Amino acid sequence: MFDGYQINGLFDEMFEKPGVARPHYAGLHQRISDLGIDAIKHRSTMADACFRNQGVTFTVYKDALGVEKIFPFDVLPRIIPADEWKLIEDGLVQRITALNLFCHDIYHQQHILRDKIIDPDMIYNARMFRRQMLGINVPRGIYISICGTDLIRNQTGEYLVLEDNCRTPSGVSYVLENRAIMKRIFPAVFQAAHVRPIEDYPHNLLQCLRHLAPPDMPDPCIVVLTPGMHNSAYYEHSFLARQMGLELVEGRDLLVDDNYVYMRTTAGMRRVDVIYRRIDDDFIDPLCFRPDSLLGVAGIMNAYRMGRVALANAVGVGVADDKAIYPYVPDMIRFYLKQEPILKNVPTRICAREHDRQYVLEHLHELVVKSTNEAGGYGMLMGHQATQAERQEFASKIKADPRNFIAQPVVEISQHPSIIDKGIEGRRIDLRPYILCGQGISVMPGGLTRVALKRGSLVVNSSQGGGSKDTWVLEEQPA
Amino acid sequence: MSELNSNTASAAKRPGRTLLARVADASFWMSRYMERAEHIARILMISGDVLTGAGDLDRQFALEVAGDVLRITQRDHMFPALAPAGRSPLQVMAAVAKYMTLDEGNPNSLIHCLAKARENARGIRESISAEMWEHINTFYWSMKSEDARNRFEDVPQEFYRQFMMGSFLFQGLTDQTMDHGQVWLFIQLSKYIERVDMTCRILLAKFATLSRVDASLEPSLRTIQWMAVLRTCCSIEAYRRCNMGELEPSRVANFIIFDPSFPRSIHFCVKQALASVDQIRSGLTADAGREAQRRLGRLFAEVQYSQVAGDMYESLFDFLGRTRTGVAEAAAAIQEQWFMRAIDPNGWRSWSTSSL
Repeated sequence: MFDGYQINGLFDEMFEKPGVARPHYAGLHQRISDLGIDAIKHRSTMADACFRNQGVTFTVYKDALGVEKIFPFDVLPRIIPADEWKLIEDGLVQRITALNLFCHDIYHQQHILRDKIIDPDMIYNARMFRRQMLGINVPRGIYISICGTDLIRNQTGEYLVLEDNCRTPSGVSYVLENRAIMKRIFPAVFQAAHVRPIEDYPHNLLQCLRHLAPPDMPDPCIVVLTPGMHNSAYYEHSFLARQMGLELVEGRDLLVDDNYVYMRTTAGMRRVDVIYRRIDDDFIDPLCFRPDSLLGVAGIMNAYRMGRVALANAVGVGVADDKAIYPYVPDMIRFYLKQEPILKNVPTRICAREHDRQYVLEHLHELVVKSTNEAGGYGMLMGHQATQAERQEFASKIKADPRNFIAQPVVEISQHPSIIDKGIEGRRIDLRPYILCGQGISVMPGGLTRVALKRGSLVVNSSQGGGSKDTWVLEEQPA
Repeated sequence: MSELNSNTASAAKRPGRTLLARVADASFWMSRYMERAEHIARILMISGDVLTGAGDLDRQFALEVAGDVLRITQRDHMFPALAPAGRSPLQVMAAVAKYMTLDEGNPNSLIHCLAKARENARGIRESISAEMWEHINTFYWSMKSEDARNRFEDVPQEFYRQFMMGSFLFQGLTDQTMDHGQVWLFIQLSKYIERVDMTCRILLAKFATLSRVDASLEPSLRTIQWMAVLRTCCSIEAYRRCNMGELEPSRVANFIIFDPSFPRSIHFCVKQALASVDQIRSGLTADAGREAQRRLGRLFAEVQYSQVAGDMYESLFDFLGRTRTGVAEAAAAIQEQWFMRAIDPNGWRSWSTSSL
């Protein structure tokens, strides 16, 4: 059934060379070959029906028809052997540690600016830098409790960090749902593979949130704050609240009185101590940020600054995942931890720098240009695929507002076999593991593997027609 | 182990989880729309059945039967458009049925009720059981598909039956899969309030139509019509067991209104709604809900100690009218005091006592 499968000159996760599966894929390769394509397609249809019935959906904006969509699910799992995972895990722990120290530093002493590691202009011009947070101490000094870091593999199979999502990374509910479905439709294949479990994630997340409550409080009130059911990740907000047994609240359910936050219940007002907020800084408090926001809670920033409510993640962490700050993360690791980065970045040009900008403008045809303030695969130029007119348009945008752009070489990211129509073809993938920072730091073994389902596409975002697959991190084999 | 033990101990002491006002609101309307869909499906089913199998009905009367559902759901302004001159009563029934079933622009159509129920459920997925959500979601998609339109056009009676079963299954899952705490109580409360309201509306419409023609109907048609009233209220079998073949309008009215143990009677529903309010209030320390309790309590006293006598129709219409007003006022009080749609931020301290 893998007859005619093309490796396309890329790093293929499953195949070393045509017809030869890598050792950690050997078992899976054998079992799915035995099952045959029809049986696999049949189970794939079953999985789709499950997702639809359970309402595991996301919302696509600017799409009038059927706004609730199923996240396309590819039943062929991605496998990561134990030794590779060890490297990823160590690298991610190192990275979130440095990013948390960076956030604290930026909003306090600013050693990293004084020592001229980062140009202060880069920080003060970051759209997500929040001067309201200067000098404010956040609970336990933790800025980033939950981080979702995007990793890719280049042509030699090396793992690189593409970006850190420090604000409100989404997708973890699909990881858990994908796993539940896989166990349901391929129990034998799953059982035989010795995969590390991930089902304790909601428990760990809750511990993380509890850690932010005042230490002397026996039974803190913790809630999940959602923008509401029209948000693209609403399903996930509801899922996590349910998994943790917490109340899912909207801005209109909360109010601030005397700098304490309360929720409106049928028994009157109840105090709220910790908020896992899935609303961006911009919308969280109309008195402090965007005055036209109806999603947030008026006065919550004052309560937060007085330490009467904890927010996860902290306000202002967006400065750490600004695409133009990302190139400095390896320097942060060296500066704060005196260590060499375990995971490398993709080489990145910062258009705000004169010589970088010059290089970018001259090499647009071979670069990927990204706007620092956009996400979800929007506001991007794939230089090698773009038309001359599109490149010119971007060139003038870069000249007009250089701080808003970065550029990276096109990375030929790895591919993985996917079920496509009647057969199996290679499609590009990335990986978003989830890191929790509470009493200790824990990395969920696995994460969201996203697939670019369009042939030849390098963009895996769900808003751009991407799908996902289950990610199996294997148990360490006893020697 | 010690952590486990301390958790169980604190769970026993806890007075019950506080409930977000918005969650109470959405659970109330989710359940209400599900109940409403069930009644509308049944009205359509019985009206269609009566017109199909009832021989030579008077044309004017037959048209009224076809239009009953519009009067009951206050869509009677649509009747002229759906019943242009020259259409047979069965054709009119088909047009009315289509309008009441799949027309999303009609706020009382089956599909609209179901969409509203699902929308409310979707907003509180974490507060209801996974089984309930999966059912309501699957139910919604199965009725929203192109296939549903074909099923409806093919065999409408089967389509209505599926709608009723969908609603029954929802209430059954609610009983069996979720904690019987506050959310569940709000679901019960609204189910019974909607049932009282719909039953009053059905009786008002049916008795008004039948009171005009009762004397002129031949005996077998007359029996079929009064049976249809009982069937529309889902009460025919229970009625038969209590009334041994007697089928009189006053007995029909007395059964549907005053029977103390039949879950479709107004007496039973008001009693259950009142019990739900009592239980919700007992779990809360605050004073909210007093007004809803007072209104339902008065209504229950009236249902308990009234009778339909004298000029049957006049006394019946008067009673049903008052009952409808009573539940509407109770529903408004629930909305105002528990759902906190509008509150005075300076006023809440006076009655809020929890966790301050």
